[in-house]
Amino acid sequence: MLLWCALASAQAGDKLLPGAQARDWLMRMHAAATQRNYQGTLVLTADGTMSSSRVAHFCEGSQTYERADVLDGQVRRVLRHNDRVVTLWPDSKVAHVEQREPIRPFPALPSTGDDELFDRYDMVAEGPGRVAGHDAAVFLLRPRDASRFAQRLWAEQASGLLLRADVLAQDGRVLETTAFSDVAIGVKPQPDSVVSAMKKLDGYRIVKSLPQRTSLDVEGWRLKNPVAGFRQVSCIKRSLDPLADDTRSVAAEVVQAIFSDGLTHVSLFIEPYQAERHRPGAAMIGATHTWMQPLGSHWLTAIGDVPMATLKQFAAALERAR
Amino acid sequence: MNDEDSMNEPNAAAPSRWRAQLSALMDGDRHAADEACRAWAGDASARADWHTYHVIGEVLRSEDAACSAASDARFLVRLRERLAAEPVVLAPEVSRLPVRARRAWMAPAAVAAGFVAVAGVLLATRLATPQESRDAVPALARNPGVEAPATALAGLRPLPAPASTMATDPGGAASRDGAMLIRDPELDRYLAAHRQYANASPLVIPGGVVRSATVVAAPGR
Repeated sequence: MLLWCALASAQAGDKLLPGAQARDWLMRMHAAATQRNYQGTLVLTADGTMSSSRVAHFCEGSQTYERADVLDGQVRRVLRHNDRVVTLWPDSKVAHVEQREPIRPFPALPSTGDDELFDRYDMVAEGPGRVAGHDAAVFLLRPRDASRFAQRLWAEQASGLLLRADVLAQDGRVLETTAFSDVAIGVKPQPDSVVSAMKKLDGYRIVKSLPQRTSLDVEGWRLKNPVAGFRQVSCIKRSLDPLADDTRSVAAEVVQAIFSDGLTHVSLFIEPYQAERHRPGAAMIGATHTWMQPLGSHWLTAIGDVPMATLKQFAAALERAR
Repeated sequence: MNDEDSMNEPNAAAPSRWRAQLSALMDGDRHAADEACRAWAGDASARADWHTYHVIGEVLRSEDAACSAASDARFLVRLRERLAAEPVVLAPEVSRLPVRARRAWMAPAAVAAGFVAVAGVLLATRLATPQESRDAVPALARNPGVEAPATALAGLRPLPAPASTMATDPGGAASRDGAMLIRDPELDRYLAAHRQYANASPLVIPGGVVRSATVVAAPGR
């Protein structure tokens, strides 16, 4: 750990942002993403593959509306009004209606002064940049230990809206990129276009999923030692396969515990072990790593945009409480 | 083809006939395909003619293309050797389940084939390359606090060809597993569920709802 810190601080020529400025920028990014009206094309790139979507985000008072049309592969549209999310599959005429668990804003939000994020990351200003025709300020959020990845962020100068985010491996390689290829900021809000589309479900088979709130404790699990820098922010019980036909053997409900370090999050899925479904292993997709292993008569799937070693720490720490 | 004789005894067809068919196929006549392919497969002189026709066509366009049929064959042999020497990227483990159980597991996979195309856009699961395995070691070495024995990295190593027959006991120790899970539609469900919570972070990436949508499984019908 010391060695890692020494290496990190040895990188000369950094323009480490003072805490107040760093907080200010993060707050602006957050406010812009949640409160501005914008519309654009978002491109996700990972492992040499890409996928793009038309996205629109509207805000009126405390109400948030979002629409996304995924442009690659099967036609699908995601509509969101606050915590209610509807995913439409026009080809198969299925509508998946979800009431998503609202996550309480992480206390690392600048106003509280409880800066967990800045305990884990240093923010470095990397000067001006340009994304999707907008002038941007470029920042590097550099982790202070090896349990998480760095992120490079491009924030629009005027509004602070995040135009691009790269997740970087420890050797500096870009693992994945999320970026606008074009975006209009400050568009006229059209919440009706979202709300009416959410109501127009004639001819759709409607599938609902409602996660239930629970806790690791209630489910009989505990982390015997915490993983450095991660805090549990939510725990729910849910079905992973609400779209399954009745004829298919449906995966039982899983417990999903979510841990956050203020920037990224890790999900631990716990469920009864099923020999025909579960095989131990590991996988990675862009920056997202997955680790699967048995836990006695249960099965753990740990997923997060963190190094595999971090997921293994979670796996090693999780134990049956009763 | 509706020529009964050539159906039953492909190579008995007169060379002049299959030459005509090869020529027609080159010109894009799909009706000539059956007979021409049979002739190509069954008769070395037909293959030589096929090659010659192409060489004639190529040379008419560029003289660089002039080469013998044997060099094509040598190229193919070299290609096969190189392919055989490549490490196997996809290494499905051998299932120890009885056939019926295996089929039950395969069925959802088949149903899910429709959404592999969807999710696959972003989710072409890849194995760590040897490069990355090497990278991971110094990364861990830098952090003595992390209890990640080198053996745990075994899971990140691409498997050599013979390892495709390696069976992993589903209940066995994960630390010694050699198999990677690849493009498993089951995994997409977990991934989608995980990504719904992108707003757990104060750093809201615009269009976060999209990110989870890219892995949402399409209903299988």
